[in-house]
Amino acid sequence: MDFWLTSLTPFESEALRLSFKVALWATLASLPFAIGFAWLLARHDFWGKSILNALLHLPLVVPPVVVGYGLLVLFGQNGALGPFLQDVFGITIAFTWRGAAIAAAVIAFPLMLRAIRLSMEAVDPRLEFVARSLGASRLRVLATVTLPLTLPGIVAGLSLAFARSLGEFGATITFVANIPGETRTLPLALYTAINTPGAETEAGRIVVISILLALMALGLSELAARRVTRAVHGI
Amino acid sequence: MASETLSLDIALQQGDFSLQATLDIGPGITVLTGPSGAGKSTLAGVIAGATRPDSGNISLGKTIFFNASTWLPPQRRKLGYVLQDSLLFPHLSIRSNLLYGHDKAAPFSLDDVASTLDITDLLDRSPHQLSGGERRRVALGRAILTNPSLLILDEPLANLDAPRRAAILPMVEQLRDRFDLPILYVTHSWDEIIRLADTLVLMENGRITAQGPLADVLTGQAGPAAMGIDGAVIEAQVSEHLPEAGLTKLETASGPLFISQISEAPKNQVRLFINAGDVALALARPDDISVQNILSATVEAIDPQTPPVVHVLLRLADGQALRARITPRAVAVLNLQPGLHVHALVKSVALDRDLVHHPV
Amino acid sequence: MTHRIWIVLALVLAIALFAISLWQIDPQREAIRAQAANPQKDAPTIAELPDPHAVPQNVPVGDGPDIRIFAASSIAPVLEDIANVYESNHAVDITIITAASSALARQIEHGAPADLFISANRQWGHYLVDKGLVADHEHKALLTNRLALVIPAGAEQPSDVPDLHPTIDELTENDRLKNQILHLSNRGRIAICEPTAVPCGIYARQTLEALGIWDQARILPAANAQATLAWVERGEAAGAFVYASETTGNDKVQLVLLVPDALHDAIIYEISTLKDGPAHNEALAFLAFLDSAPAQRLLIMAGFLPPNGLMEP
Repeated sequence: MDFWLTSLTPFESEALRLSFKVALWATLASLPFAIGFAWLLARHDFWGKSILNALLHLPLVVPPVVVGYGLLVLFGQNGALGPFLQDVFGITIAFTWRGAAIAAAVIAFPLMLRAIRLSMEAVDPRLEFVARSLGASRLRVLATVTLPLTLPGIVAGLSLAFARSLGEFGATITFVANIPGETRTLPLALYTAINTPGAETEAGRIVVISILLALMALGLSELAARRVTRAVHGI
Repeated sequence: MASETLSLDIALQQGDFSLQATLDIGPGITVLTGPSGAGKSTLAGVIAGATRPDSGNISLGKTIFFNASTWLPPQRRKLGYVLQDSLLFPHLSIRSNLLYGHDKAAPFSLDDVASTLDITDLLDRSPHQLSGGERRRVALGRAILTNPSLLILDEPLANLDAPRRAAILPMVEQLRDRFDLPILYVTHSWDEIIRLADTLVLMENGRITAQGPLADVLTGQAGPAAMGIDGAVIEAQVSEHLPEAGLTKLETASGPLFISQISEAPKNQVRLFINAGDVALALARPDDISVQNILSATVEAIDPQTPPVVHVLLRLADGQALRARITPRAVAVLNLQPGLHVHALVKSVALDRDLVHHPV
Repeated sequence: MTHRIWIVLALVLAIALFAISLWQIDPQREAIRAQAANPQKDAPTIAELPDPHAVPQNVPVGDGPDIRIFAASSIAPVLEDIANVYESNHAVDITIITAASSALARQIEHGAPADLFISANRQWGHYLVDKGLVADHEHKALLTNRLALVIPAGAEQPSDVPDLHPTIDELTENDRLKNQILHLSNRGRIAICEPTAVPCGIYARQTLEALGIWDQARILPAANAQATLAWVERGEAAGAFVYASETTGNDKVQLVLLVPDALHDAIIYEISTLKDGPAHNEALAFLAFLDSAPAQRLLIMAGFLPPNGLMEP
C-alpha cells in the first residue's frame, strides 16, 4: 500500500514537470505552423505541392532516432546551426528542455497537420465564398469562418500532438540526451529506471504515473472535442 | 440607394461548356431562366466574382468589376449573393449571421429586415435549429443587410413546399419595393417568373436567346417553345373591390376584368397573367354567358402548330398582346384572319391572383 | 481483373522476401565449412599473434557452441579482437553483447542467456552472486583502468587556474583539476556515464564529489562508456570522463589529464562465469585464454592494465 500512498519522489516530480513543460511548449510551438501549412495544402494548388506534403510527413514515417540525429546535426553544439544560434541570438538548444521540446514538436507535427488539414478540407468552400460576397477580406474569412469551423480538428490535433509529445523518446534521447532536470522526461526517466538493476519499484511507479497522465490527457481532450463540436455545429 | 445598371459582355469556356452573354440589368426584378445546364448559375457566379471570364467586361454603374486589366474581388463588389443552399454560418447565431456583412450606413436596420422577412423570433437561435424555409429567409436578410447594389438570388425557393413558397414570394417583392433593390432572380419555375419578373432573360446552351420586358418575351417567338408557358401578361388598373362577390374589378383599355379579390389598392397598376388555353374567341359579343371577362381585340397572327393546336396572337386596344390557343376547326369555323376584330373571353376564376404582379 | 493479378503478385513477392530474410546465410560459416571439407594448410599455433581483423581462412573449424559474453562497453572492442583470434583456433562462436555493466546485470538477472559477464566494477559482479546466478568462486578481478578527462581533438586545453585570484602559488593538483573541470563546464557540458549505476559514471561522480564540485559541474549523462566517448568525439560535449583505455589510438579526443586514483574507488574489471550458462565449459576455456599472453598483449595494447597494476613480463 505504501507504493500507492507515498507522494512523488523528486526524481518523479521532476520528470513529470518536465514532461508537461516539454509537451506543452512543443504543442504550442507546432500550432501556428500546422495551421499555416494545413491552410496552404487544403486551399491552394501549386507546383511541388505533393513534394511539400511528403516532406512535412517525413517525421511520421522516419524512425524517431533518425529525426533526433538529424536535429543533433543541425542544432547541436557542433552542428550546422547550433553555434550560429548561440552566438548571434544567445539561444542554446542542445541539452536543454527547449531541445527536447523541438524534438517532440517535430515528431508530433505531422499528426497535428493531418488532423487540422482534414478538418479544414471539410469546411464547405462555398461558405467561404459566401463570406467574401458579404464583404469579408480573405483574412477575415480565414479568421471568422474557416478557423472557427476547423476548430474541432484543431482540438484533435492539439490532443494528438500533446499525447505524442508526452511519450516521445527516441528523438529526445538522441538529440538532447537524458539530463535530469533538463531533458529527463517521463519516458527517459523510465528508461533510466529500467536500466538500473534493483529499481523495479521506481520503474513501476513511473509506469503508473505515465498511464494516469495519459488517461487524464485523453479525458480532457474528449471533453474539449465534444464542447467544441457542439459550439461549432450545434450537435 | 440609387439603382445602378449592371452591364456585362463576357465569354467563358469551361471544358466543353461555352458561355457568351451580353446583358444589362436595370431596376426591378430581372428573372434569368432556361433549361438545366443553360449556364444560369454560372452567369450568376461570374457576376458575383466566383468565376473569372476569359474575356469581356462587367461593370456596375461606374465601378468596373472586370475587364482586360482589372479584376475586382468579390468582397469589393457590393453584391448580395444568395444560393439555394442557404449556407448560413453554423457556428454563429442568426443575429450574428445577419450582421456578418452589415453596412452601418444602410438606410434600413436589422429590425426592418427581420420584420420584413418575419424572422424576428429567430434572432437568438442557431442555424441548425431552423427549418429550410426559415434558413432561406435568414440568408436573404443577411445579403440585404450588406446594403448591396444588386441582389442575386439563385433558385431561392427551390425544394420548398407550396406554403413556404407562397410566404416568401411576396417578401421578394417587398425587398424590391421597400429596399429599392435591383434583383437578379434565377429560377426555372414559371409561376415565379410570372409573378416576379419585370424583365425576363432566357438562356439556352450558354447563350441568351431572348431578353426584355416580360410581356414582350412571352409573346415573342422564343417564349412558349423554351418554357412551356403559353400566355400573356396584361397591365390593368385596379378600379374597385367587390368584397361581397369576392372579386376585384380591373380596368383595361379594352374592357373591364374581374379577378378573385386582390389586396392592391384602387388606382394602382397591376399585371396579370392570362393563360392562352383559358382564352376563347367570339366574333360577336355574347350576352347570356357566365364568362364575365370580355376584351375586344384584333387578330394579329395565326400560327398553326401540331394539330389540334393553333396559336393566335391578339392585340388589345392599348397595344398589349394577348394569346389564345384554339383548334384548327375553330379557326375555320370563325374564318379567322389577321386584322379581324374579335372578342376574347376569359373566365374570372381562371385568373390566378397568386400570379398577379405588382409593378415597380 | 488485371488489378487483382498485380495485387496477388505483389503479395507473393512480399512473402518470398520475408521468407528469405528469415533464412540467414552466414558467409563466414560457409567459408569455414568449405575449408573444413577441403583442408589445405596447417593451423597456426596459439603462440602466433594473427591479425585479429582478418576473416579466418584455411582453418579446420566447424560449427560450434555459441559462447555468449556480456561485456561492459569499454572492453567490448578489444574483446571482439580477442574473440576473433580464439574463434580462428577453436570450434566455437563467440557472441559479445555490450551495454553498460548495470544494464547487462539487469538483463542477466531477468533471464538473458549468458556464459560470461565482464563488468567494469565489482559491484555488478557481486550483484549476480547475490542473486545466485554466479557461484562465489567463479568470479575474479580481470583488469584495471584509469579514469581520464578528455576534450575534443581540436579544442583548447582548459586553464587550471581559477578566474578569480589567478595566482598559481598555492594550487594543489586537485585544485588544478577542479579548475579545469569548472572551465570546461563554462564551455559546455561534461559527458559522463549515468552516475547512479554505470561504473564509469560512478567513478566520475566520486571524483566530482571528492573535488566538491558535483553540484556545479554541468554534466551530460550517457548510457555507457562508448556513448560518453561518442558525445565528446562529436564535439557536442565540451569534455568527458572516460576510461584511459578509450583514448588509446583515438585521434578524435585529446587527453587533459588522468584522474588521480585516490579520488574514486579502485577501477576493477571483474569477470564472472554464469552458473547456468549454456556453454559453461567452453566459457571456462575461453576464460583461461584471456589469461594467456596473446590475449593479455591485446588488452595492454588497448590501454588496459593488469589487476595488480604491474605489467606482466
